[in-house]
Amino acid sequence: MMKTVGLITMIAGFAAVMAVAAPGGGLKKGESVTPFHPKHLAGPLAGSTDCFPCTFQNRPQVQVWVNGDSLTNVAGIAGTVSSAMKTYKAKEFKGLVVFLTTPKNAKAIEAAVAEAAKKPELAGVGMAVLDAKDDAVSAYKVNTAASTKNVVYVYKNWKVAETFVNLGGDVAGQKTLSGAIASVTK
Amino acid sequence: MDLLRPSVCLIVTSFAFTCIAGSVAAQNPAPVKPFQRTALPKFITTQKTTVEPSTLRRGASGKLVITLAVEDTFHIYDPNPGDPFLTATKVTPIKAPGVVFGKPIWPAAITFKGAKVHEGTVVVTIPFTVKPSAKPGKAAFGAMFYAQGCNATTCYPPASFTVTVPVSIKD
Repeated sequence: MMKTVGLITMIAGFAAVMAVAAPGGGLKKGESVTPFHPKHLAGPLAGSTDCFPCTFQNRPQVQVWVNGDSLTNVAGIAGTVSSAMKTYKAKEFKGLVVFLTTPKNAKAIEAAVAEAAKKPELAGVGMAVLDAKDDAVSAYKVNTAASTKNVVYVYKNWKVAETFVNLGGDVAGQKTLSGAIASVTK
Repeated sequence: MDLLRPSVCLIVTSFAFTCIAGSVAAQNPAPVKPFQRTALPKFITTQKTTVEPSTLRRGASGKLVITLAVEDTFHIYDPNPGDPFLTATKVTPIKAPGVVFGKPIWPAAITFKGAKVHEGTVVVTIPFTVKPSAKPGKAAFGAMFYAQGCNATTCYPPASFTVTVPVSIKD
């Protein structure tokens, strides 16, 4: 009995260590977002590599970093961002979805993103691609392991208010994201 | 050996939680209070802070002169940049006993993409008066800044920094 309890305690202890120490868990609340220059395919900066937070400065914003997540899930999240951009138009709330690519899949992802961006329910949301090895990926502490599908930052004044890893694009995820957006657009 | 196992587990678990605590601490450093930072941010390459006149006497007035060199191609925003979503530079004189600081005086701003900014060498002066009741002796005058450096394509995150200069108040 003691042996089993000891083993479980050890496993739980190490599991906890691994969970907390795992790299790329995302920026924490209060940390700063930083400038980066993705290739914008749609949205207000389309056709440029302009820095999104530098352009929109202290406005309330969301960045969705996509690391192999399904387009269906991303559409659920981006749709929430698009909707919030209408709701909080007076607060000038902005949103960007950044799809991480590799040299192998870059063209296919760009084509898929450009097509997805045409959906009316995603109107206004910035869509961009960025090489997964870009310095910004580590600056934003995005884990590029397959287990991390997305990392979502809700921020204002360059400071992260909420971070979500593997946020669902379902009703529950949309509700969570909407709540976080509401908190930075007060 | 069986008797040892709980102890071993306890040690391992303690180690594990120590690691957790260490890791959390590393990932969540104590929040930096506004104006706590003293090192210059990258967009301010140098600073020079002086007081005029160099000899301060009780009851006299003077000015704190802060000269900031903004990184080449970059600018910092005016305290009134003309856009509520830009990082207005804030300057707060550091309190010194027996000294009353006035409002910081900025040079004329230039316009960049519709915003009021300052680039190159920026000289901010803060007038002050040493009260007649001030105690003679050594003190430090200075100011706390909160600013952001941007250029045409990128920005540094907003940062706080402090500038100080030692002074001596005489009778």
